[in-house]
Amino acid sequence: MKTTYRLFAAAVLCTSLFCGCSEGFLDREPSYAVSSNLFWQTEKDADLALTGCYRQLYSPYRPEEMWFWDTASDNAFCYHNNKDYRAIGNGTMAPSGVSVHNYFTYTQIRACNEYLKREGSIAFRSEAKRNQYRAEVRMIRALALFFRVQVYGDFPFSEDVYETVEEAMVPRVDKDQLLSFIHSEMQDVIQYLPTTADAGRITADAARAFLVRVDMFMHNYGEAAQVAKQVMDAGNYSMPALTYEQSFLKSNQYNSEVMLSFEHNKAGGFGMWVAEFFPNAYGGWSSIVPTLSMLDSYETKNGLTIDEDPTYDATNPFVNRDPRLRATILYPGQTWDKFADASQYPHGYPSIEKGSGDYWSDADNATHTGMNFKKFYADPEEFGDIWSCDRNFPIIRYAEVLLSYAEAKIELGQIDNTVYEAIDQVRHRAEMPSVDQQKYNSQEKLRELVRRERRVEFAYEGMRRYDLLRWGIMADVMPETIYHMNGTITNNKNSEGDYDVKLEPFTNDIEEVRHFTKGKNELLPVPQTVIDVNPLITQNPGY
Amino acid sequence: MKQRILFLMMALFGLYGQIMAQTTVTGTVKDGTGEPIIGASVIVTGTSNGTVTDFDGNFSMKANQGDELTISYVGFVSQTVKVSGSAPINITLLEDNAVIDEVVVVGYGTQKKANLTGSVSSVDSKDLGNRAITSVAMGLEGKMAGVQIKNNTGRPGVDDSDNAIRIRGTGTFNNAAPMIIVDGMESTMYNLDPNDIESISVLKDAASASIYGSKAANGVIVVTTKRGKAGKAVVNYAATFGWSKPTRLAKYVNSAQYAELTNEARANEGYDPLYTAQDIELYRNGTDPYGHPNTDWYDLMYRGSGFQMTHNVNLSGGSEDVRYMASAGYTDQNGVIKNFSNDRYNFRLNLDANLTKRLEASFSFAYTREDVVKPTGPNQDYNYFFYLLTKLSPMVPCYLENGDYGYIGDGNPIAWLNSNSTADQIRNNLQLVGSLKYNILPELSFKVMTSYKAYSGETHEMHKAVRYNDNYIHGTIDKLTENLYSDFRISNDFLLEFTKTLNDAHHLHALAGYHTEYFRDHSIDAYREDFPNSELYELDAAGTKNQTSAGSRHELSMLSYFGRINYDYMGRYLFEANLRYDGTSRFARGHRWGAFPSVSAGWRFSDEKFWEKLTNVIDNAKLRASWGQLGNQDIAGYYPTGSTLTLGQNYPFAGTIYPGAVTTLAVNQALKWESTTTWGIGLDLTFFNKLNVILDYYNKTTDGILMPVNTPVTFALSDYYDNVGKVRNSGFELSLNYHDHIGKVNINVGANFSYNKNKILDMGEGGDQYVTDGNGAIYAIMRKGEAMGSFFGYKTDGFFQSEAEIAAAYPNGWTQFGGRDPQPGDLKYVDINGDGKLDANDRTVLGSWNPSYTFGFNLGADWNGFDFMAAFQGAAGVKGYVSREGVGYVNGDASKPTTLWLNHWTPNNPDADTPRLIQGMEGWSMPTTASDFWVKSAAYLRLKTLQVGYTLPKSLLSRIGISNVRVFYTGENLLTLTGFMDGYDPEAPVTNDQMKGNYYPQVKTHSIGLNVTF
Repeated sequence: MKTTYRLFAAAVLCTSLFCGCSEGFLDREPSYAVSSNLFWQTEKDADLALTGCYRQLYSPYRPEEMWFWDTASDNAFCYHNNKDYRAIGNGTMAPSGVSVHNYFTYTQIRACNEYLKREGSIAFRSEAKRNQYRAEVRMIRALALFFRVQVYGDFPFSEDVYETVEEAMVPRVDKDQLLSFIHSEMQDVIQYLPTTADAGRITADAARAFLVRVDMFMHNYGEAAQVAKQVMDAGNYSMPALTYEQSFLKSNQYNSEVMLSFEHNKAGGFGMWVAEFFPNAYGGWSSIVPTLSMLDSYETKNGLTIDEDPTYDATNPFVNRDPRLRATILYPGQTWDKFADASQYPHGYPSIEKGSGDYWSDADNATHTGMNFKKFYADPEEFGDIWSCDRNFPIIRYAEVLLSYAEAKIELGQIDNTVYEAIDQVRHRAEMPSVDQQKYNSQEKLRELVRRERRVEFAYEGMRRYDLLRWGIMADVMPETIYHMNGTITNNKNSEGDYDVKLEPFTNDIEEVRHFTKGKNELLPVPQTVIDVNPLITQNPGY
Repeated sequence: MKQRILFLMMALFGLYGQIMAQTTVTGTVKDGTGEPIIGASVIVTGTSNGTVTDFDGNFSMKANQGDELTISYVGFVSQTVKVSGSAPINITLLEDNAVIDEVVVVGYGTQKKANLTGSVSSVDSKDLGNRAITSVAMGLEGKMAGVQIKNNTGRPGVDDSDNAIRIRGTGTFNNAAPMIIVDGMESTMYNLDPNDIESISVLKDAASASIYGSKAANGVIVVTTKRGKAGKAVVNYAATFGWSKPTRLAKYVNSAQYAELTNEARANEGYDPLYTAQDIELYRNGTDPYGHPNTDWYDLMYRGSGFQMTHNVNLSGGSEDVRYMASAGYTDQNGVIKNFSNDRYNFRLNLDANLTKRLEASFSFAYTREDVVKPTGPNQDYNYFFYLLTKLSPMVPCYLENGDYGYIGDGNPIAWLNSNSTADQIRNNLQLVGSLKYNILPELSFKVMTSYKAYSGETHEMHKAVRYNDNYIHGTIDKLTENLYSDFRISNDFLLEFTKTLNDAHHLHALAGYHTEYFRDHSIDAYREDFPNSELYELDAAGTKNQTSAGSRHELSMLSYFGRINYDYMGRYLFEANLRYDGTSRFARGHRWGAFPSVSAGWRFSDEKFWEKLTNVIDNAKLRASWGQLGNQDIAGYYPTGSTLTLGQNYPFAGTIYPGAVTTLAVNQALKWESTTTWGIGLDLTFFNKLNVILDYYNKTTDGILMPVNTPVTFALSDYYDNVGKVRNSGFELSLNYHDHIGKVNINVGANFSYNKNKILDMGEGGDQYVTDGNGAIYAIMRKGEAMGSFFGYKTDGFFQSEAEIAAAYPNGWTQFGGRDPQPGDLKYVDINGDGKLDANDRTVLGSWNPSYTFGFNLGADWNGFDFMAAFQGAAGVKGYVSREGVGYVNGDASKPTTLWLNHWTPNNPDADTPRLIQGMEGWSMPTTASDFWVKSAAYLRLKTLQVGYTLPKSLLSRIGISNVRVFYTGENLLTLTGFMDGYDPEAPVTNDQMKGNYYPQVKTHSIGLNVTF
């Protein structure tokens, strides 16, 4: 009997304990993420989601990305072999291995698509605000898609959010169809956007300027000129009263010509290294360095090309040049920053002096063309730790509107005063003389001028490959030979405050001979991994 | 046991004195070697009259003439003698090698080893104590068949994740580490003091592990700590003092050799030499140490003392009612490189009490504190020191004439070490267990157990700017990241246990249980930079300009019902069944519950009539068979099934950060358990009561492996998991144990051998998955039909000796590697598909980094107080890979070739160790292209432990109140035989992009030790 009681007591105890816990004990939700079911309701949700969409500008518009992207053109050379950009530059890119760079991503587009699909349930205080937010997201999406069309041509796209893996198995869409979509989107969104906004937010003029960029790519010169003129006439943006060098200091990164920039802020989780681009003397890597053809494209101070100017001395090529050269490029003999300290560096930047530590064969991280870029970080003091710093990167500058306007008008054959005025505005900021209207009086001559002007003005801003593509001259300029720079630095301090150099001719000290296959290398290969997962995605020709 | 304690009690309290009118019987109990046995019980058979032997093995008691005495001691065969006359009775007890009565810890209880039907391996305190090991996992390496431990770093302060423990192969693409149970709760092992451990059992198959259900698929390691025994207080002090050195270090060329190799590499590519004969001579003769230096970076780096010591004091004893074990330990481990160290403090108190006749209580308190220090660079963690060490050219001076530092773009690790910039981590582990057991009936008990395990860690990670010269301060400003991380787990277990023996033949044991578990973690990070001076190192001292903070918290919960039934008939027919029913918070309602059953049976056919004639050869023979299912839920983070937007997708406008949110993670609501089905058969044999043999065959198939599914880029969400993979591990295990004594020499020989075959049976629809290094080069593959962790690359057939040979080998062309075409002196990759073209389709599987064979054996002997032990351990059927800077290459100041390159191919040296010289690390033949030339066999045999000890004679010590003193020498990792690449340990890591030689090396240690028992 006693036993029975004990068993009974045990059974009761167990039962009560076991029933105490229910299924609810196993329901756990993250406390650091928002449940999708509870989202998309308030304006606060809209702000969160819109900011999240702006973050998608990260690829490809963060500074390092766009600096590297210039090595996909004739402006710059990427030395480090493990960087896939070197392969893009020298034409050996392949669908797999280390020589493929992967811009074939869709996360940016998906984030925007999701916003546009789901924001309908948000209770906005006004429809204007809803439409403005939508317009901003649509432009971010257009920017992301437009870059991918440049890189790959056809690209998978729809306005849907693919809910399942099966739904997401879609083929690439013809590039012309995508361009026309981007174009119509941009035409439509401008009306909803504000004239002014916080720096970093998209304005109506920024959208117009991007529409101009799209038009130029599509050769819609009429609309390009007309929209660009609208921006110019509105006067919301202007060439700043700063020198070219000052314009690219971090302290001036919000100047009056910046129409849209990628806001690169360390505290926002975007850390960067500028050390990757600095000379070896700074512990930098010299990963991206200017090419000889980049150097040669700068005019002399007289507004003449180096071939035209009799004062130009090819053995001492850095004096009397377009000030944008010195503002953009660190060359041998230059007394920049620490190289101005004569006790340490009696001849400025010693990159052609063997044994100096900055000569190409002295160190893996020494520049292999004798030059480095310095635009954007010309004052290292602004960065503190060059291994961990931040700065904005301009996505659209007013100078582009001016030069695109001029180019569109030139292509239309409508050469009038506004063309010269537009180009001069850009040249004057750079402290260059006005265009010689006598010399540049034909469509052909002006085309040559405006193309050179664009190259020099936007050097190191990731614009060059876009320009080469739309001008169709990639095959002509890409197969460049990359030379090591040799010679001596003299004791003579010149008008720039730098030391004169005596360069040896560029003959056989070759770093790399770049190749280019027409009909193939205009586009990057689709990464093999992308095709492996979705066989509907086709490879680009030649790969 | 219980009886023995009872008599111990009686002896202590003099109860035996009340037994009157008998004669006094005296005698001595010794073991086979003549050593006295202390504490052997001597009782009059069938009565409660008895005593225990003293320090000299002597006993004295009252007994009647003609009484029968039973003399017994754990681990020895009991004997009976008749009392006749008054002469002292001298008894020699023989060791019981049949382990019939040996008890082994299993899930939620213990079991007689003889009655096991599942597969359980165990080691006890003898295997762990007295070794100069700084982590428990180190002590297990090579000890048990089917238990593979890869010990690939000697870094102070490793934790369980650093010791890749795999039980019967790797059975999942997810976390394949075994579950670790310490004193009944899920816990960690790295923080334990090996001296505190009583036993470690490894539950290898489903039959033994399924009681732990959904967490047990990778096997279970059950650690039991020492507990007090009733009797006089025993105090033990153990200490070791040791010095460690790296086992193998890479060997690189000197400056003069490097200059010559560079000139030759350039000449091969048509470039002028960089170094003149005079340069080379200056590098060689060292007369221009600053202009032409020859820096031995390894020598400068490996200057840590490597000193380590361990101390442990252990106090145990108690009465029948309350028993205690208290211990305190201290371990001080210094790295072979400055600024690497770990100081560990262990405290433990284990209490057991019999509160009433029916009620028992047990408590365990354990606390460990560790201070782990690792060096840091201006922006780099400690791994980067090793990477830089492999990169820096000997031509870069460490110090300049004026005291400034030489450096390359990546920096100078010696300057970093000298700055004493460190990441300091304090790790606190607390484990509390309390239980109450109520014996409702003699056959039925109810037990409640509550356990709490808390970890709290704080990391203070300083990155000091380092001055190289007046112009270059690497890192510019001092930076500090602080992290506070804590987690805890609370679990409750309710156990109902029933034991009944019917007719002395049917033994029934049943267990029913309920388990609840709650886990939470919490982490806070803070960052600030720019300190007023380099002496300051707290957050408040730094500037606020770029400060950041972050924090997160996760929860997990689990509910389980489980039960077990054991039945045996006369110990001859054995049967066991388990069932566990688990629910987890990781999965959505409707998918979260899983049932995990197992059954096993054993047949001791040596007890059958037909075996009688064989019993004098094979005295114990048992056949076992088992089947069961286990689960694994440890995947894809904490909340893989809830659709969420990821916060923290912030973006600045006009310089101010705004919060943002984006959907970035995929959700699969239908995720469920991975399920592992295991079956196996085993045979246990004992020959001549001396040789134990255990044989096992197993087949373990994991289905529904949760793996990331390859999704099209347009899906655009990360971490899409599904239950799609399938992997099988099958193999066999053999363990041998032999005990004997020749005269006064005790001999003990053990060996274990395991073979495991791992095969991926299914990868879902996605097909092959490649494994790439940090630079995107493919070196391994996950492919259906192949083993996990298989290297993937080209087969080679020597070097091309001529242009004609190249043209003949690839008539239809080839793919370039590193942008280069093959030339004479390059590797001849085999066109395995025979299409006349060498391309990616010619790659093949080159073997796995998980060994097929692992083995260990040990020899032990003791004689007259001297003891000797040697343990070997090794692996075969395994490949290793060293690449990039690990092999070295010619590339100016930021690289250096290993000495392997001194014997490179030239037309005059066609049978070389390496291909022809080129500049840079990318090329046709370079190790960045994986091939069987660079993927080498990593089979090895290692003298894991060598120990020589001497125990002082007891007669000498008893007078000064000490019962035992042993002094010993012990060495770990003393000798390694391997054909693997010179300078690299065969256990060198091949994952996590560590093929560059960029990791803390394995070490060997010489130690002396002392063990005193009072």
